[in-house]
Amino acid sequence: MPSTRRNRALTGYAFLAPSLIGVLGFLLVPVVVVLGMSLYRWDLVSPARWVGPANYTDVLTDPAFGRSLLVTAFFVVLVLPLQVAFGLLAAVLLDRRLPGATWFRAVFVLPWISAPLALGVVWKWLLDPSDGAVNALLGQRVEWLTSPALALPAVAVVTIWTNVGYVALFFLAGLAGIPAHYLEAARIDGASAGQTFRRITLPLLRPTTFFVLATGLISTFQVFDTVSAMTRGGPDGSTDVVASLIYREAFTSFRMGRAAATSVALLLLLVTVTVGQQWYFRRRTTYEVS
Amino acid sequence: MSRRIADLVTYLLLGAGAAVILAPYLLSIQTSVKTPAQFAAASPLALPAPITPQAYAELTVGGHTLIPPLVITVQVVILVVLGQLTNSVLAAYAFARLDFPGRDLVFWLYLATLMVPVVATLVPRFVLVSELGLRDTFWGIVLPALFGSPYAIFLLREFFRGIPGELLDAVRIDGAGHLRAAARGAAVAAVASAKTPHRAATEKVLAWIGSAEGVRPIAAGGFAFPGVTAAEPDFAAYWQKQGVDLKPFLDAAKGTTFPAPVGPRVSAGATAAEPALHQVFLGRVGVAPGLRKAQDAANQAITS
Repeated sequence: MPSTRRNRALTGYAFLAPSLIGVLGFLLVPVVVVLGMSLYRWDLVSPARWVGPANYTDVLTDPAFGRSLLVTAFFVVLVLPLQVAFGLLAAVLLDRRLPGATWFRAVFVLPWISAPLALGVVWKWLLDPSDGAVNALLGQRVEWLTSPALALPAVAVVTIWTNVGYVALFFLAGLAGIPAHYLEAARIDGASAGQTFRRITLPLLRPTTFFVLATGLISTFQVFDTVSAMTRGGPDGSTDVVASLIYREAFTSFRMGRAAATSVALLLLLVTVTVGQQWYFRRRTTYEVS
Repeated sequence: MSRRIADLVTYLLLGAGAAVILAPYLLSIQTSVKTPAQFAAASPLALPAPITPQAYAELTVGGHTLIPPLVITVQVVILVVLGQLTNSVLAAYAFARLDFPGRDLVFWLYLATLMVPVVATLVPRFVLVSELGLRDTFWGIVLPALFGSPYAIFLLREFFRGIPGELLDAVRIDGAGHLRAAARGAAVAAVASAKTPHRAATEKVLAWIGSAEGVRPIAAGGFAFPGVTAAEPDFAAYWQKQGVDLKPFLDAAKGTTFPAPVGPRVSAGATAAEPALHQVFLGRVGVAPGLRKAQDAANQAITS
């Protein structure tokens, strides 16, 4: 029946209309604009000038871009595994539901609900080489944010500290979805706690793990606020992640075309990594919990 | 014994985690009541001596007052939360419960936007807001966030898919449109958890469902004979209009009433009564002794 078909489509799109305006206007159209902008030279003031692929050759031959890719990749490698591991550990501990677990859960998500910029400022003060609380506690002077070797790991630790509680929330939901009789059956069969965790809990948590890894990967690749507040990309570019490079090209150097070309590169990288990750997880057996 | 050791280790680990999480907050609070002199001279770990509310005075009535920005922030939050919640619930309901051409394509489009780095589109969004004449205005902050976020839509869609379809369909049969079903679905999602901290609210919703007001839509549509007597006239009126006389039903319902059985073992009672009732339907046992047998079996199952 064509009329009810059209009716259904109308209802569907009526429901989608408000969010569609936002997604199109503030997310998709800007992406298209960025693609176009990457082919122009523009400083926000004088008229834009068509330069073709020149911005791309500039970006790809710029050592700062290569360095920012390495820094970002290193940051992801530092943050993601630890963040997921600690999140899982916290979730397993909270899932034992001892008295006070709710209180601990609330404490753990505190950094996630705080403003990243404010946290960055507080941590910068805590890690200050001469007046910082961390060095006062250690009783010695460590150049946390001012030495190229330590700055990125320090920012990574702060990022992990921020995200652990949030990751734990997702694992808690995943753990709650595992039917208790699976674990009971394993216990009756004589499996140890470790075996049960490895053979039953972990495989059944796979959808959660995928979700946490995928969203974590995307957000760590885009890290900006924390870096901006703590190091501004320094010292010596040792924390100059791709996002902070884009920001500097756009709003410090006013090279909109180059900023756009760098954005496109980051976008392509993220799409590749996400699709690759999805493919990897699809290939492995997945278990349905219902 | 090993259980108590496990509990102890759990508390030690959780305590260590909580200490690491809380330390920066506690240090910030402690420092906020120090005098500038102590802040400059003493160790950052030293306890505040003397304690001074000076910084807080400065932030409320002093030169660095936070009150106006706070008022603006609250306004932004209220508008953005209302807008995002409404629009995200609508979209999530459409993705989870409606069937229309292009649905999956649009959903993947939404998901793909999660991969777009915020910084990457900073310039076009800046230009867009400027072109709309909203640069440096209140609405310049609020408008882009008002339409709903793909991330929230993704999470809510999973939630909606987790609600049994019959539950939302039942709301729809009651004559509610998709809009009401979406709102009800959001409410169900909020109270669906059995371990909900909102016990009082859950009970209120359930009580409403069992009240005359809650039952009325079902009764007035003639869908089922209402268990709540106050809703009976609506049911009778509906069938009267269809030319059906319900007098025998209504008379039968006027007899002695008793409270419906409640408690965790209600379904056990129903199950226990079934075999005896089957015997009655098969004609092997008379109606009166069969009913008595079913009743006894059910009562025993409920109270045991």
